[in-house]
Amino acid sequence: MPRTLFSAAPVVRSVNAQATGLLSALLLVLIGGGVVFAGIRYGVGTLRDMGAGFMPVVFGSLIALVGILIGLVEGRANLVGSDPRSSVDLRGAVFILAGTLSFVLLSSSAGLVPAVFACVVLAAFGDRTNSLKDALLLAAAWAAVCGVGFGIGLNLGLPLFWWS
Amino acid sequence: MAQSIHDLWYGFSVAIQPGNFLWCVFGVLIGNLVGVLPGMGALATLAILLPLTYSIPVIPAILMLSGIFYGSMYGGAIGAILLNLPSHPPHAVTCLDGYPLTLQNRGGAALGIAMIASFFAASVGILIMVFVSPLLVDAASQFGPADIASIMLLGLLAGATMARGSPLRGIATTLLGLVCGLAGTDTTSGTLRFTFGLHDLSDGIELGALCMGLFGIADFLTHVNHPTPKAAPGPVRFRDVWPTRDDLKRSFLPMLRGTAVGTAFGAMPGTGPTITTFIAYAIERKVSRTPERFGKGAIEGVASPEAAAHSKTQVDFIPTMTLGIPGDPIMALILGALIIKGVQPGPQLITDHPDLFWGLVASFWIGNILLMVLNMPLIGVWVKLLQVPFRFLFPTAILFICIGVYAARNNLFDIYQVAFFGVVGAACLLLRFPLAPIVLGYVLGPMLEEDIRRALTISQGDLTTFIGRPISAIFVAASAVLIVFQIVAHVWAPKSMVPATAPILDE
Repeated sequence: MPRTLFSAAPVVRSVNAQATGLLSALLLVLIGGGVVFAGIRYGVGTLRDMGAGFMPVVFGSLIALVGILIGLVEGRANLVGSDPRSSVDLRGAVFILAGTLSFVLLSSSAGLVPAVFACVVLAAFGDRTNSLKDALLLAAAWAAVCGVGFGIGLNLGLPLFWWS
Repeated sequence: MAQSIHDLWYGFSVAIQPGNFLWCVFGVLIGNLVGVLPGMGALATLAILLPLTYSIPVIPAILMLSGIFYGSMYGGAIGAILLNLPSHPPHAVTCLDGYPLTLQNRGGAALGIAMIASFFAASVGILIMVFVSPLLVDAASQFGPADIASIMLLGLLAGATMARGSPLRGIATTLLGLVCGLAGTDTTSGTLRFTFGLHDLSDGIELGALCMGLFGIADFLTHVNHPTPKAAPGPVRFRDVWPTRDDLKRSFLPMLRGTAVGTAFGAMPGTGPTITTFIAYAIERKVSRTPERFGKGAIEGVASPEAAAHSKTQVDFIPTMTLGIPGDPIMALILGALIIKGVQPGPQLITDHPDLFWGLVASFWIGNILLMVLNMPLIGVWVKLLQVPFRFLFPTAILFICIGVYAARNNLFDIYQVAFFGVVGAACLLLRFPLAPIVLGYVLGPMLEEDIRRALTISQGDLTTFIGRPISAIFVAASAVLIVFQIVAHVWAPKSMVPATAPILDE
């Protein structure tokens, strides 16, 4: 059962403000560089006749520039920031993404009702205070509502079950 | 003037058509509901319900989306006053005096004052919209592409730097949003940009998917299994909602001042409703002869910020509808919905679609009256709803996000986009990047590119066109002042304050 797998204490990583600053700077310089590189390939053109790559080059350079400025400003400040959002609970995040992706994977193959059920049960299971029973009940309720609602009323263009 | 009144009258005839009226009521109710629920912002709700608008005509679509926006502003006050829940940033400041009033068993009166102040301020905001918009449209007919581009530049810069958190980080996410807006097929050359070989991306990034990822999934990813404030409301009865004569007398001037603050800030792009309410509260405490009462249940501390939030909300629509330049992410989303429906935003919108513009204005009034009337008897229901736990709420919201984003274009690929932007958004929150500017950039990106391209074609590639034209020059100068101001503020600020450690809440 995944319950035992994830039942350890929440994974909390407090992030040092300086490290955050440097990481942000690095990411921005990389993204900015990538955008500039792509822009040059699309064709920059001239001021009078801007090419498809003109604005990407402008925006990309600015992103890299802002990244460097953030690195200069925050990379030196030796401060520890405490932000309530400076951590992500691994179990919650994994299950939320699994729920979202399960909807895509199941809805076209197994049908809408199983997809709804899987999506809700997985997402609900990401919350440590939800019991297996609660998660199953919530998912069953939504599967029933969606099955009836989209089966009789609105047509989503997705099969309800794999046999229909 | 007379023309405006005549047009407004026409607007009412549009707004009361059943097909429009019912969607307005629906939007207002949903907005009110999510405003009450902790952890569901107006922006996330707008994003989730955006796909619903694809199958209905443009007027009811815009009436509904706008209804959600101002409806949520009414709902947020309820949570703030009765439960001390600052889950909706614009109402965080209302908690300071609203909750102490609840503890003194005067929560009903505080709610009543909040409703009256809100309605009054919204009405003033609407009136300003009615009379100022046509003037602005007249002025805007002189604007060339260079002027529009410069106005957008100022709007983007203001949106990036005046939100809370580090201005540099705001600029960074604005730029990322601008790049996101360029993804897809370039309209002029047909070049595919930033599609990574994915055919599904050739139409660009889907607005709904972007918003739901950033404000829905990312929010859940960073909130799950973190302690949330506990709700324990006291009972509030219908007849408690009537404020006393003394309350009304005390609240009258603060209400006027709050409305003035909200209106002034509404005209300024990039200033969210949150900063507006904080300023209104600060002013009220400054002018009060008994500032020591603030924080302990001063009714003025409820009336003024609520009024400010609501006049700001209405005035916010002016630049969006008249110039096609949204002042904040919610307006960007509404503008995005207009574009999806094939309505070209800009100064010509009011003349091309008078039914849309005047119908919207009239629906504001209808919606606000409905909110006043509905809120009072429904308060008991809202309080019950506040007790729906987050652990049931978020899996349900994720389901609706999946169905909604799929239904928008009958394309399952869009759900991958949602998941992708959810992860991007969570990463941004962890690295203390504000998310709201991304949407502003996304919507303005293609428009900015188009206007710069046209301006430079007209000027034969001469960059001085942006400072040679008077209107453009004013906005370029204002942008420059904004940047200089930020640099000066940074240099002068005490060093310990440099990395803003305050949590970044999205407005």
